[in-house]
Amino acid sequence: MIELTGVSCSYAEGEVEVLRDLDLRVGRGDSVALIGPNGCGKSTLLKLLNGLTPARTGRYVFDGEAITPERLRQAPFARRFHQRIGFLFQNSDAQLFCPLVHEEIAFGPRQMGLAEPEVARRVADCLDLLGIAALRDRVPYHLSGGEKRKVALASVLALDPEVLVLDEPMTGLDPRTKQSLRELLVALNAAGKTVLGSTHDFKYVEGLFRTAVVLGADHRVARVGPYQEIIEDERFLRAQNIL
Amino acid sequence: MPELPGWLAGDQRYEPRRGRDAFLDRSILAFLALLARGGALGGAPAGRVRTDPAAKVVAAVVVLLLVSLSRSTVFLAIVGSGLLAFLAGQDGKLIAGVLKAAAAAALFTLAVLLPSALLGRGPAAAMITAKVFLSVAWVRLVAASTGWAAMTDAFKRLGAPDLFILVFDLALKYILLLGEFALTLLYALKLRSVGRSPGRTGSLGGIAGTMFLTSKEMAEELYDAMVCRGFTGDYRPLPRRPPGLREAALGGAVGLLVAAFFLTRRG
Amino acid sequence: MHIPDHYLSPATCAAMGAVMVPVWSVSLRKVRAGLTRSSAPMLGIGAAFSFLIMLFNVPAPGGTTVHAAGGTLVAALLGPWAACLAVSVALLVQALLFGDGGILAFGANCFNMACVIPFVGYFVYRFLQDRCRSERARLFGLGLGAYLAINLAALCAAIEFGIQPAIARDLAGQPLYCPYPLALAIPGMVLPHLLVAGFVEGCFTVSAFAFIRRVSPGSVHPGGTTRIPALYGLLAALAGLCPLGLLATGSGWGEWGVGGIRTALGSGRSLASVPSGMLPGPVLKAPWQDYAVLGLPGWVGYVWSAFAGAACLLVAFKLFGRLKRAGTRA
Repeated sequence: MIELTGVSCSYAEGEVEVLRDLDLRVGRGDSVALIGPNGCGKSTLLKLLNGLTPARTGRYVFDGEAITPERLRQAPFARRFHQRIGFLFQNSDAQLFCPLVHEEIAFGPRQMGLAEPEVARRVADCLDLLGIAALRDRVPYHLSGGEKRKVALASVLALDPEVLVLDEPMTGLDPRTKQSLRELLVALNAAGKTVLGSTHDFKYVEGLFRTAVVLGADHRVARVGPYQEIIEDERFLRAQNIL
Repeated sequence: MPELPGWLAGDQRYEPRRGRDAFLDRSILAFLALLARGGALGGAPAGRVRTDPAAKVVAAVVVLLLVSLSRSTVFLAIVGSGLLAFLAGQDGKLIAGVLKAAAAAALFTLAVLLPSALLGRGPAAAMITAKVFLSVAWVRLVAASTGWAAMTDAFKRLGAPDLFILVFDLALKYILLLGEFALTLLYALKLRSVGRSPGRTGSLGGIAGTMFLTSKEMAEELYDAMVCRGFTGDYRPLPRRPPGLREAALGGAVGLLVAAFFLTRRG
Repeated sequence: MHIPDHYLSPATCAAMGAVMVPVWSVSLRKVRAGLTRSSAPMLGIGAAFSFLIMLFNVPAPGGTTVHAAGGTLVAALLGPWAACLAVSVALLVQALLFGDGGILAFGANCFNMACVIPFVGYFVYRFLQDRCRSERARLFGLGLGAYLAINLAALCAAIEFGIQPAIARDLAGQPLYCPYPLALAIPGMVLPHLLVAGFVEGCFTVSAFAFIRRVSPGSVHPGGTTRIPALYGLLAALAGLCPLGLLATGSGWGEWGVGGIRTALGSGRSLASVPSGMLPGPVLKAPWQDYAVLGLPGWVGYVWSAFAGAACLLVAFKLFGRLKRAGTRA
């Protein structure tokens, strides 16, 4: 489903390298954890997957189609691409920009051009799915961290993406919320959605991820393998400055 | 265990010199006031807004215009009674806020016009003060009973261009977010203002500069978020709610006011 | 510097609003043309930033504080067109939701703070920036731009106030709106800015801008894409302000006709006789007498003449410049 070949990424006109010669293969329905120390380029990689940052070298192929900045400039292609791959930001404040919660969730479906009854149905379903029906008429700015995260996730799910990319989804949440989020992600993955997430919170993502990709401090892929095996390899994780 | 340097491990006796940092305190107060008001403004949920916000805004502008044009104290009295009637239907906290703001504005106007009043233009000064009181009260009433979410909606109905709506909406949201951030910076500055600091304007400049850079990052993140949810540059307007009984009542009231204006016109 | 409602007559408010409408549409057009990835959200956040800058209390000499205006800073950071829009939206939010500054006077407030300040400040800043090498000189240019801009804006506000007694009176001769004439309004508004607020604004603008330049130089508006020579702007402004002359009573000094010169001494005194050299001789008849054109009100002819005169001079200078260059090249 997702194929990265020899991808490098940098900013400040090539001065600072953020990703180096990356190869990545994610199949449809996979659940992949992205692990690495701070500053290894996890967030940049996730942005790249969502078409927000261009790669300096290498190729990015999504479901057989090459994703390039030129193609993304064409509105229909961009819209279709962004509908198929949803991105949950690390900073929920940056992700919520509508005056009311139900408008926030409706934004995506409306951009897709769905009819109002369908939009309303999706909004109601997403509110129920995340358990935030009571927040329907609230102002996103005033919500707590966990509530904001749920609203953001609801607004991403409303697009019905095939791939779900999450940037540190558990940060700043209380244990109860982490638990319910984990259960929801497991359910989504079981329903066939590809899930890719970066995380530090190994305890609360148990049973969610089957594969792990480890990025090293040198901005390259250090290791790819079964999630459980890598998590239990303490010596390796210590060497990578993760533990 | 790290080795602590001597001055950190020992006791210090520091007697600060007297100095004034009024600008810092006033800035902090200004931001606190903003956030308090902003919090209250954002809180009116759409469900509670009963009259079409666009109609309310248009009505307020018409009332303002009539008040400004009028030279009749009778007309001002009519507008005043209308104001009281609307206020009566609101809760106490809102009424207090509206009247306080109006009174403050009126007092300020009085202070500015006092010299002219003493020079013989008393009636004019009094009329302007009364007008200022009424106008500020009306505008605050509309703003407080509408909430900023519905205010954006009002502009959509009134046909403003997409870009403007987007900018206005984001401005409201980020006034609060950036304002909070600025407040934490101001507090940080205050906590470190343990003596007289040269270049105080410089530190404010640094706060302003940091605010700008943060806001730039926020802008880019925000745009990414919108792009990820399918935004490609056009802003689609929300579905309209058909005008109802309340809007008709408001229209009727404004119509009566216009009639009153013409009836009370002096030659 | 925010003008509240009921200080300006509705006619003045409407006129200032009419002036702002083309400015806004041009700004919208320019900004849309240069819309990059993050421009649209940046405008909204720029508006929020402008709004918040106006909340800052900046220390002034004597222990007092002064509110920053920030228009020049925003113009230097985002470019003048974006700054115009951002400050306008900030003022709209202030007027509508926070009740500062009038709603009817919105056009006038936008003209003073979202048009005069960003554009004047920006042009002065760019003018000096293009001609100076050192960083210090450039920062000084920015400070100077901010100082001049805020003073010019104060002058505009003072003029808007000051003409009210002349243009809006009731039957008894009482002023209906701002009762202070130009003679009081101008010194009252301009002096504090000239002496105190202007300097404070300049220093604040420079310190914020220097900080941003040092920390993240790429964040600053590169400029150079929209180059309207400052000269045109200045000429247009001066031409537009001409009609103020109509408000002055009496004729300009030195512009007396033969009859007028007898009473020109003023204070009720008059000359015993007209100097012999000034007695009637050949008289040159100008195409327009006393600026009255085709029966239209005096101010129309005034402004028309101003623009026509300025255009004439510009054409003349440009032709002269071409001739000179051709001469040196030969």
